[in-house]
Amino acid sequence: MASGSGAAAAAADAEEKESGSRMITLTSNEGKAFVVTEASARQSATIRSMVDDGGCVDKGFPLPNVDSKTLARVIQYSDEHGNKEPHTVDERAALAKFDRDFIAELDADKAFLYDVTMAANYLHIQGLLALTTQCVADTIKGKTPEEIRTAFGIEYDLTAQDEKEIKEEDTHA
Amino acid sequence: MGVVTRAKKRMLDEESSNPQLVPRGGEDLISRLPDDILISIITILPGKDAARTQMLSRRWRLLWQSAPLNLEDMVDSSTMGKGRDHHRRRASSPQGRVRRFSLSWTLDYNHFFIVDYLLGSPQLCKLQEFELFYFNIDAQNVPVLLSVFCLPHTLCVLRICSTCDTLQFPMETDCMPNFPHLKELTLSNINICGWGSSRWEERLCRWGERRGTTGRRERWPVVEGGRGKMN
Repeated sequence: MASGSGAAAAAADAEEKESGSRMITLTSNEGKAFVVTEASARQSATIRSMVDDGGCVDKGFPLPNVDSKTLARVIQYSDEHGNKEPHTVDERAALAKFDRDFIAELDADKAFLYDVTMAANYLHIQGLLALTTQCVADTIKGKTPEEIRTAFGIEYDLTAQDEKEIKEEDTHA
Repeated sequence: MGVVTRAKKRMLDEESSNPQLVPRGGEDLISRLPDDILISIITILPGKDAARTQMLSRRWRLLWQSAPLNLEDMVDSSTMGKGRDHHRRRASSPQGRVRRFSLSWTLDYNHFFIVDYLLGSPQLCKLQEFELFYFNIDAQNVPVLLSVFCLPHTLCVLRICSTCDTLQFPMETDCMPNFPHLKELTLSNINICGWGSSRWEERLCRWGERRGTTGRRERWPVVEGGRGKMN
């Protein structure tokens, strides 16, 4: 389930198995179509509300803010969380492990992590957004401002006035 | 804020010398994220880490100023000596920005005024979650602090937990709580005596009704370990 076409193929297989579930086409900003199960697509509150409003399920959903690489990764998450509901302790543990591995991989490529974060925000996939923002927060935790600036490449542009205010707030709130 | 203790400094130095943890510099990618995502990141950070983000850059300072915060504080004999200023500083943030406040209190009667002072802070005027943990109580039948029940009506979650002796729930008071948005109420090791006649019961049952429970005998709120008469 790694690549986009893999996810689409897996979704197509799933369709054959459960003919009852609808398939939904999501199109990236590069025009690439991804076919996913409705259960997977419903992980996104944005798509869920469009489907429930009797939206254009047949025509599919163009996603002008999401590129193919990002969409494939987002679908990987949605498939895992949408297509099977964990019932047993083992299944829940497997899902938690999936999340850990998923975010560890993203954490290694920060630019991609932010792309996925923005897509999760745009599509309102709450679980994925919580996962990615927590990952960024963990990077910030326990670091000095200088270290955080270095880690994220943030340019220091506070004025002397800002610094003075921060110092004042710090000493007598 | 921004004060790095020696132990902490050592830890940070060690982290920096670990090649896997050394941050990679380069292009400012995180700033591509929209404000609302960055604000939610600041909000999930612990208080000290959240406060440090205002020193990153102008944009982060503005974000920090508008982010709802989760604060933790502790009141015990070690913080007593430092007086109010210490706590004031720890809770320093513009008015109404605290979303969640978790207070650990090693009970000592001399600390009542500090806790009262903290809970009356205008910074808590939009508080949504409040947790109070009592530790090491010697006295019997210590009442739950009344200022808890004067918290703002925005409160959604209230947890009062005593780790040792049972606390006394105040019965008839002048300040009846008004938490119309309360969704979760947990009282652990709290003694509710006189249950059956107090205005409290009425109030708690009304909260319970909103949660869909019916009948007065059903145990809502969650009262764990309380030795109170429940009927």
